[in-house]
Amino acid sequence: MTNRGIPSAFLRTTLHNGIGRYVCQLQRLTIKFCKEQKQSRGVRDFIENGLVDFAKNNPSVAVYAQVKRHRSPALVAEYLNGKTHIIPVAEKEAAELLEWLDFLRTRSGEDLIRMRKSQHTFSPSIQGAWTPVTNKQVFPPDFTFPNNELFQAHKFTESATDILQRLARKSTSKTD
Amino acid sequence: MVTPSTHGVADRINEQISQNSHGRLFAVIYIGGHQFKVTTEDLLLIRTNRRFPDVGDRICIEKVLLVGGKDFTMVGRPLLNNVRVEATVVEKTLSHRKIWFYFIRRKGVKKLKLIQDFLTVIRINSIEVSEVEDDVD
Repeated sequence: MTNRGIPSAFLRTTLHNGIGRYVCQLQRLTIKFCKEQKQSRGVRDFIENGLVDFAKNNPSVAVYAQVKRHRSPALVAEYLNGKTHIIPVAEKEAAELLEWLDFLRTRSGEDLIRMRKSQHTFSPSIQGAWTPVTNKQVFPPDFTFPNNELFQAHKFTESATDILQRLARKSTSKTD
Repeated sequence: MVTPSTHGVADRINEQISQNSHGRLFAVIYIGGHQFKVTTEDLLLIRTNRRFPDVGDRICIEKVLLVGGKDFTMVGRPLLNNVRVEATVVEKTLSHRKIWFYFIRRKGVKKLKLIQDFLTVIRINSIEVSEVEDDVD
C-alpha cells in the first residue's frame, strides 16, 4: 500500500503538554488475566513480583488487575485524550510485559499513524517570509540604467586613492 | 561605491541581548541526524533509540548551528557556544507499521516484514543567547 493510501496526521500533543510541566498521559491501566490458563502465566508472575513497583513509580496512573476466566490476557491503557490502547499479551514473559508497560506509559495516546510533518510550530517565521525583493537593492525612481556605479567592485574600506581624491575634491571646492 | 563596514555589528547585537529587547529567537539545531529550524514551543519528531532520556526529562541541545532574532542572525563555524537551547521529552512511542515487501515473480520468493521505528517527541522550552565577542576584523 502506498503512503498516500494510509491514514495520516500532524504532530500534536494533548493540552500543549510540555510547555509548562510534563503530565503523564496514561491515566488508567487495566491488566486482564486468567488465574488458570497457561497463556496468562507471565502476567500472573508479573502481578506477583513487579506490579506494586510499577504502581509506586507511577502514582498518577490508576492500576487495576481484573480476572477474566478462560480469556486471553491483555493490557488496556486509557489516556487523557480519551483513547484506549489494547495490547494482547498471551504467552508473554514478565520481563517482556514490563517493556510493553513502559511503552504504554511513555505514549501520548494518539493513534500510531503516519506523521505528515516531523515538526509543529506556532510561529513559522521570525524575520518575515522571504520574497523576491528581500535584501535586494532599492533604486530611486530617477535612477538611470545602465549605470557605471553598478559595475564597480565592492570596496569595504576607503583606499589611499579614494582618500587623496576626496581631499583633492575638498580643496578644489574651497578654492571655488 | 563603498559598502558599510561590519564594525560595530557585534556591539549592536550585544546591546539588544543585554537589554533583552531582541524578542522571539529562533535557532537551527542538529539532532537525530537532521537539522531543524526551531523556536520556543515547537514540537519535534526524531528517530531515536530506547536509551534516549525518559519522558518528562529536560534536555539541553548542544549542537546549535545558527541563532537569530528579528534584527540579527548569528551563524556558527560550525557551532555556536553562546546559545542554550532547552527541551522537554514529551513522548516516546513507535511509528506506524511500515511494510517491507520483497517479491520475485515466478520464483516463489516472497518476504514480508512489518517495521516500527522508535520515535521521540520533544518540546523546545527556551532559547537563550549570551553576549558575543567581536572577532570581526
